[in-house]
Amino acid sequence: MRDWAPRGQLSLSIVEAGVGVLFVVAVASAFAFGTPTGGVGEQAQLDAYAQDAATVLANEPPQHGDATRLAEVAASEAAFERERDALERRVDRILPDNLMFRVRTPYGEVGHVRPSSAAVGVARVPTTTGRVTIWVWYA
Amino acid sequence: MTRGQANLPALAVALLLVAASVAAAVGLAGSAFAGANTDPEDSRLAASVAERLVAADGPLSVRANVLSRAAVENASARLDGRLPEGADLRVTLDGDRLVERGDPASSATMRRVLLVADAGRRTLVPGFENSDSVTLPRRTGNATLTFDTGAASVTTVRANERIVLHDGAGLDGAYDISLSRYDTVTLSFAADSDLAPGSVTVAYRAETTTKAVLGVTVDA
Repeated sequence: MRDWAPRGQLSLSIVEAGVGVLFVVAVASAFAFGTPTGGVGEQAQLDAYAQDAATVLANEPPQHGDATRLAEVAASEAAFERERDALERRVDRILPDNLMFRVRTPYGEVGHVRPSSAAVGVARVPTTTGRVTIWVWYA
Repeated sequence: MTRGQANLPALAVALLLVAASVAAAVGLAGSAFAGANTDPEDSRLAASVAERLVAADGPLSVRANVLSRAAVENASARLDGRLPEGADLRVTLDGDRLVERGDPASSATMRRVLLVADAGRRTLVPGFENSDSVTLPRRTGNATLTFDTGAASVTTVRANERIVLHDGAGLDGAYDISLSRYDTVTLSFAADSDLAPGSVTVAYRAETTTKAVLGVTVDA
């Protein structure tokens, strides 16, 4: 029995304290993920950008036929093929430089591939030939 | 019994350790809660003011998401009394301050994309070299024709085969005509002899738009 002492065992109280500190730190680390801060939410801002781009296109005169630019690109496959480059340039011009976009019409899509891991704002506009959807996200 | 005595300082150190870490965690939580903004009033106000400004019937609007350049230059007078009371706020257009009240320090800034329209009149003087018609830029809603034809006299003006002006004795002076906004309009002139260049002047309203970003910052 007297042979135990020279082995210098770690005190049990210190071990318990270590476990206790670990628990406290685990709780405290939850605050490291942050609490709600002020400001406009990213999702609300992106949705507003998408809505603005859709509104501008929906009120713009067309390049060739139809009533508005948005109705024109959604009118037919031929019209979409003719307008796709112009549409991409126009949406790129309208949106701020730090945004990327994708536009889907009933006859095809233009823009960048949508990311799966980022916040994406969306606006959907009905036209007589189908729905036009605009997605935007931060580059 | 000597073994038991050795644990007393260890217990003291352990208690000290746990107490210190609890104090640090509570301090961290306290400052996190103090810094948290759980009141979304600023961003709600910023979003609704921005929405109001880009609406089709907004104080500076021509149509939805299009502001008038003339109204923007006169923004502080036009927005007077139309912005929420009792809050510091700043409205910027492409970084230029339109309106500023107080010193909003919050980060609640809503940005909207829009166009600024500059309306002006342009004139076109058809040369009448090979044809007696002239095509106006697309989406021209109205035009003013001024005739100074000299010897020749213009009897009829057609817009896309629709007769808009007719006078058997010859048109003279200035006439306002309205045109379809949904077509590209070609004006053709029927005259009793060849028209000289400059005998007809067409003035029309042309709108040029530039892109801009509207920012609204509110600190209530």
